[in-house]
Amino acid sequence: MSLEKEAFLVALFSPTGVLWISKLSVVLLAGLYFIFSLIIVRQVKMMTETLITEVSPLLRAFSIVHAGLALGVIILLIGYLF
Amino acid sequence: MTLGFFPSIFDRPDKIRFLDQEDNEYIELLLRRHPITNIPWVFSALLAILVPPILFRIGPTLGVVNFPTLPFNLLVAATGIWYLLILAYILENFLHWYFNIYIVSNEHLIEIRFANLLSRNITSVLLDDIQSSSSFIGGIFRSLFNYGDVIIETAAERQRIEFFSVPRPDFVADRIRDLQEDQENKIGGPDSVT
Repeated sequence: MSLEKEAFLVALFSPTGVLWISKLSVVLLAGLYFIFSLIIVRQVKMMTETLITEVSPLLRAFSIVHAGLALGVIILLIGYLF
Repeated sequence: MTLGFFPSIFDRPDKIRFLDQEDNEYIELLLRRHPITNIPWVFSALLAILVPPILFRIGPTLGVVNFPTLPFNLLVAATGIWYLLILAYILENFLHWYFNIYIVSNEHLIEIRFANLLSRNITSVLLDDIQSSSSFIGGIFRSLFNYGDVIIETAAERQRIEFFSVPRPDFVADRIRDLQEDQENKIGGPDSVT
């Protein structure tokens, strides 16, 4: 193993490295949640096209607001953790 | 016994329409699974909500997690993510319940099923193709809350349609039989009714 690789691994598994990995994982999970919220928007759109009720516009609005909040959470976490 | 919030049975709703509804077609019944069937996931979600406070309270005592060594901001962020995941679980289960519906119109039986996040399956059978409809209620909860399955045998390509865990299954099966008889009378006149 080269010295660079060894130094990288030591740094990676040091307390600071593990902390960085943990923080990145949290932001990554928030990113996945944002993707999920976009899928929810798509899903609600498809569902409200299939079943048209009085609450359909409300559900669509909720799904879009929810996606916006999910994006807000990512920005908030980046600001809070790094 | 019925639950008033989030109705799961609509009798002739006039402000609800569905995809591919014909001009002279109207909805007789719109059905969802009985709200009581949501209890398992609601209970799981409530338990999951309680996990962080319990872990913060007894975790250090049991030696499971040593919270003081973790940075406070990471702890808060991880807790936030945990609650986001619970929210995702609740949303997905609610939408699954809300949009998986059965429709009995004056011409068709329609089953709209969202199998997962992005796939939709619509099954439609003409009332003329129905051969029999029966209802089944089994178990304490089902008897107590009056919900069960309605099984419809058809002569169409799909030979069997099941309305799972719908409220008042006897009433639903009876209404389907009435509609089918009406349809037969319209097509063949009174002589064709057996």
